Amino acid sequence: MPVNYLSGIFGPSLLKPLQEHMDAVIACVSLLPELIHSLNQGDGDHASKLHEQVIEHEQHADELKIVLREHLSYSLLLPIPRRDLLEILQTQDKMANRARDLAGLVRRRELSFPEDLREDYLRFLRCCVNSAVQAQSSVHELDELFETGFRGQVAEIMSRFLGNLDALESEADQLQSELEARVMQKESSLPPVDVMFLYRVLSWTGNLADYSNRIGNSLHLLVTR
Amino acid sequence: MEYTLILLILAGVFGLFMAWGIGANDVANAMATSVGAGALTIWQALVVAAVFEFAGAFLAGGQVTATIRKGIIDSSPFVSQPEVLAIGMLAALLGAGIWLLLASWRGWPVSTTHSIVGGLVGFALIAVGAEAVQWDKIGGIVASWVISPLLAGVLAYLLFMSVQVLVLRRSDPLAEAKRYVPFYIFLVGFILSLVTLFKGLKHVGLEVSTSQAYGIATLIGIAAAALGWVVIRNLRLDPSADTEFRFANVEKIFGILMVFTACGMAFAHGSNDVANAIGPVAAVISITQSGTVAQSSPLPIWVLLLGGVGIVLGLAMLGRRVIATVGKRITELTPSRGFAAEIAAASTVVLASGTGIPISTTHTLVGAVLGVGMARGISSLNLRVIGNVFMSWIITIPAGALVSIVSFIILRAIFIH
Repeated sequence: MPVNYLSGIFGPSLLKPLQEHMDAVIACVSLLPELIHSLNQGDGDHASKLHEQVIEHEQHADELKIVLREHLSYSLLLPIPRRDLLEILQTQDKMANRARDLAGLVRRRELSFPEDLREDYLRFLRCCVNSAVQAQSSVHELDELFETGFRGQVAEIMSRFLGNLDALESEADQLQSELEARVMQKESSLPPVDVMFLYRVLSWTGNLADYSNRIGNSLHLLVTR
Repeated sequence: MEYTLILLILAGVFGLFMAWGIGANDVANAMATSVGAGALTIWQALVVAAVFEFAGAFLAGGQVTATIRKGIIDSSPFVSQPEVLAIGMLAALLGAGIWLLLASWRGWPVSTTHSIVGGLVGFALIAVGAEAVQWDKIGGIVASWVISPLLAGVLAYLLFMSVQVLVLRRSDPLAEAKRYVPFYIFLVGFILSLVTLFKGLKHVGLEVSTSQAYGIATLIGIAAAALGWVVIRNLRLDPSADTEFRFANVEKIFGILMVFTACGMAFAHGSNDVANAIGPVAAVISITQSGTVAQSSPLPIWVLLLGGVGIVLGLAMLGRRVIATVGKRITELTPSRGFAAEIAAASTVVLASGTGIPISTTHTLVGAVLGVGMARGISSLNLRVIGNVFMSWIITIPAGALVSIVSFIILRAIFIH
């Protein structure tokens, strides 16, 4: 049966793949607290297993990203500017990469925070993961936004979501600078190379919240344009 | 005239075949949008299409038939040789049929209307020459092929914007949908019946004045809206469906609207496209019966019936499969979008039918879908394919003409020595 031209005029839907990509990214990110926890407990086997899962999810996300990028190369008429869509996709991609790198770093170096900082670091990490999950819900709100032409009631709900994202990001910033200050106090008592990597872990963890917020900003552009 | 009976039988067979092909392919396209949106099951679509295609063909198909029959070819050069005109009409029909068969087998976006018009022009050029073609009419028709998708696109854009402002962006879209959908249903009933009353019903012996037409059309619109209102009241909505996607129930209400627009689409299609099959048949009948090219005799009603039956047969035999395949792929056009495209396309097509202009239903529908896309209503449209669809009509005319010329030469060799 030849392809019917009437059905041929409908291009591939891009919202669903974008959401699936985000789901894969979040699957990757949300493994991090457990990974850190098991390292803190000294359970290296479990940590390796989680690390492998993080890598798997990240690879899955990469595959989805490639498919989506191919779709974007067609001459398609889209309800949202192609550039905005690409921007969201790239930020999501960066988030997954960051989560993968972070998992790799702590796993390989068996890095853990000094006993008295562990709880606070986990709190910081969970805050960043929360903001990533909030970004995921916002990306899933694209269905409803598309339905209403990116205006009206749904756009207001979306703005509320983005407000949450802002709040989570400033909370994460706050926690990050507190932790950095406390690591600084302990610098002299810790191996210098470890200190270097602790700062890096903090900064990469904070990136997760930054990226979440950047996704939020891109979505905000869609409803205000 | 020799071979009168054979020519008549051939005309009947070719016309039926053409109508059958239209039913199997074009109608399926027109109905697939409603099936893809989930508003109709395939079997419901078949019933709706059968009833309303037939009604459209029978009630409003006369004007376009007249154009195909005598509006494109100037019959005066054929006064001394009426059998050439009869054979030419057969050739145009056969040529367009063969060309369409080839095109639909290959999946080319080809319009039935463009093929038959190309076929008529082709044979006239070969049989007599350029003076046998009513170029001014052709100019108008070709212009309408540009205007009709544009008009449908603009209408669809406006309709979709109206539904966003009135329903989708409101704080309670469900309540607004219940309130406004009957108005859209009224619009469908009103426009379709108004055009039909104005232009279509002369041949069934019904003459109505302008004010009567407006009155009756309003009544039909209100009746349709009331019916829709009752159905929406009794629609069982599932609040849990809205947790996954908050507009699931709103779309369900638009699904009811889409049942009505599907009826309108089928009606409009029948009113315009039946002529492609039976216009030439009517011409052959008139020539063979009178032995002249005068063609002043009215269109025999049984010819309209023949076209209607052919369309329904094609739909029943092959259309089901086509609707299923196309419908499965057109899920992007959800009811809140699909209805706008369908009302716009149906109104444009019926308007053209009333004026006697043969236009392409599918192209009009594609124009309407593009209009919704411009209003950011469709998640993605493949512009390259849309370009191909519109480009194809430029190719269809010479192609239809060429196949018709070959058919004409063969038929002439057989019937006129």
